Amino acid sequence: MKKFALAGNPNSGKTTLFNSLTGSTAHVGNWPGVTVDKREGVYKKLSEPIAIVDLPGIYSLSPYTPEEVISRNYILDEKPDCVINIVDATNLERNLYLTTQLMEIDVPVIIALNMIDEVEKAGDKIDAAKLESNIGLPVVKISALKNKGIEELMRRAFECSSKPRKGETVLEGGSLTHLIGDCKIALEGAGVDNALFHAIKLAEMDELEVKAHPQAAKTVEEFKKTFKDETFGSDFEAIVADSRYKYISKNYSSALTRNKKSAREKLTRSDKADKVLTHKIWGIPIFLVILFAVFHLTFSENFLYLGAALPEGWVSGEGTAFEGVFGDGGINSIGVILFNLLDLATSSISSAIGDAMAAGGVAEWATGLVVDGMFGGLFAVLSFLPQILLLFLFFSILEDSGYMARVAFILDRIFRRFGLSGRAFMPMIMGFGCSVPAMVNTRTLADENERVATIRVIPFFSCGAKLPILTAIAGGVVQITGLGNADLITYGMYVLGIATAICAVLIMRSTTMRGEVPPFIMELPAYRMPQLKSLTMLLWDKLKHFVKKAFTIILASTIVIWFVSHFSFNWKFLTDAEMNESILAGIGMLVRPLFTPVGFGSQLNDWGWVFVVAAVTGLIAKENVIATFGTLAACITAGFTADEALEGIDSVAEMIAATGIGVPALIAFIAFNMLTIPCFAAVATAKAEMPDKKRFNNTLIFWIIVSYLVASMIYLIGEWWWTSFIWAAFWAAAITLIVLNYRGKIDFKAIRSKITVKRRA
Amino acid sequence: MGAIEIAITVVAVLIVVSVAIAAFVRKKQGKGGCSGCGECPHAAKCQSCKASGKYKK
Repeated sequence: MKKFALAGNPNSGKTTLFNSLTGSTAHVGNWPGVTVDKREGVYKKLSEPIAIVDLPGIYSLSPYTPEEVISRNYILDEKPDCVINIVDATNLERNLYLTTQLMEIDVPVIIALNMIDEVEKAGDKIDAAKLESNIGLPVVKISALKNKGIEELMRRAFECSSKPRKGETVLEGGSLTHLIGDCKIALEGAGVDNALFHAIKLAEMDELEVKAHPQAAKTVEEFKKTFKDETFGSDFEAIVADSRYKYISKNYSSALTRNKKSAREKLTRSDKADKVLTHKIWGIPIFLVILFAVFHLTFSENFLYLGAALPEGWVSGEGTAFEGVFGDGGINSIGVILFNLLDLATSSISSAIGDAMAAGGVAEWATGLVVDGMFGGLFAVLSFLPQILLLFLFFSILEDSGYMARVAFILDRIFRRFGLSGRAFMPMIMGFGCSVPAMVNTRTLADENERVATIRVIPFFSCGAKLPILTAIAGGVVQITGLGNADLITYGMYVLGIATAICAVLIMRSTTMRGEVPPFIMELPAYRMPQLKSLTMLLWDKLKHFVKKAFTIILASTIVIWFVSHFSFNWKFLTDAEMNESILAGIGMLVRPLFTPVGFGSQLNDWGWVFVVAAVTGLIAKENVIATFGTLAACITAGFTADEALEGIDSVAEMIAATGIGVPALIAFIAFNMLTIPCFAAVATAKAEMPDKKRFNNTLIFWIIVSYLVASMIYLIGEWWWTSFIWAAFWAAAITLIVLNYRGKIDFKAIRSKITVKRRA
Repeated sequence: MGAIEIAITVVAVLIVVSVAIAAFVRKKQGKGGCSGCGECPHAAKCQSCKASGKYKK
């Protein structure tokens, strides 16, 4: 099968084109650096299937970043049949810099002028034929987002792939021509492939080339001693870069005709928006308000705070099948309405199945297994699907519009003080979706310590799987106590996660993970209207992933939980009311003293082990926490009252009532689950991404300590306010030690080595 | 135990066993063969990934 590689600058639309060609749903975003590793798919619309490889975005083929190394190695070593160079047509000159390097490799190259629709919309024109004759490579105008020109691009790429191509350079006739020529002859003599490309890189004293060809590098060193450029001295890399830009400006830019008026207007509009959104003082409060609006739209049960203004019972629909769906006192937000509707449907299905089985004379235990064991846990999780999708939709809109890139920019100022660059914000934001790709995305961070610190705090940015825990417990708290709004609690927990991450990074970067904060340079993408197609694809992908997970690992877990909660250690079957004698209860009761300081341990009544068990099952997949509640709550309440299936918030509310747990302990429970060891997949990714095993083990310990510390602080202060003084003293001591260590007054390493010596003695 | 009860038990056991086997196989072999995908949590850990040598940290 032929292989075509997609190469281009960051945020030029490679992944959008990749998705369009292969039908994939890889993550796309309006910010540079979304793709950090290559991915493959197949294009099937030509006479033969073509393998498409999406390479990470790069500005050059010099090995400055891991992405540049990945892309360069792939093109040189794997030798694709054609390289499709995606060029952002709205930024032609800068994008063609990479093109001048790609054309030096012995591989067919075709240029895809992407975002041509935006160029035309701005009133600019690009003469593709002129560009093609100037560059000497085929040029095709496309719009990957609107699926225009893609078939022609692939047809011409296919034609190109059957004609072998020799590398050419735009540096001919420059001051380094003879040096490059000598290096090329030497490399060809040594049988090196792509001799021209390697020779130019050698002339630039590229570190990979110097290592690979030390003999030829000596020729360059000799030449350097005798050469001096008026402007750049003997900095050959700068001379080469300058020659490339001069050539681009002279030969290629003539193909672009700018509509000066429109360019000026566009700039002004973008500037106007940025003046407000990236304001030095208002930038961050605006971000927090936008974030709150997102949570309010998704979780509020008193939308627009109209509850008090509405006549009593106006929206509750008392006596109808939809009672409480649209509101109860206040108007529900769109997220809550969708949640209620799905909850209503799943409850009806569970009840219908339970009734049918009872009517059919099926044994009580088998009915329990199906209704509580299978559907109780499954539906408890599934009912949160609308809110998860809605939250993702809002985050995707913010990302696709280009706003999230601005947030990274405004947060850089704060992050820098804590020892991180604004670049680290991007993987953290991805962490709101899923920790796995977020941890992989940290590869774009150059400093190893910064990367390790970022991986450690990514799980604190609550992912979609943790959302049911937050929503269900917050909803349960509101239902039982009548305290506040559920959206405020959820929002507060997200902010707690962010605050914990910042504090943890601050401590790590000033103690064990010190390092230089690299300067943050990111090209701010243009504001764009989010595209319905890409948003739909993203939501569809999330939906598929969630449903697949629900019907496999979560369903299997709830069945196992039902079994171990209905059998005693001597394999006697137990009824719902006897569950306290079960295997699960035995294990839960054994472990629960460990959780006493965080509020859901031995201080709860006999049923309190359920919280411990739920937290432990969450280590497999975080959705399991609520699935466990769903399964066990249905059984426990059935043991107390009538046999009825409960889902979502109702199951949690029943659990709260049954166990006698208080509000501080519930908030501590959310915090513990949010900050503790994440799911198996995230742990496996962290292990793969960590530089060594020791740091991975330390990461596991770090997650346990942070979650335990924060949860116990919340519980103790919430339960006994005066303990806040003890905590304040604790943190004051800790911060003093950190500051003293930072200023070099205390040397922890020396103390540790003294202790080790004493122990050995 | 009637036929329905036996069927329910068999289905429940099958679900649990098949999910466990699928997870084990996926971990051992990689998702449908390794393509060096960085987003695979088993990158550089599963057998096909090691054999392919495609994944470089």
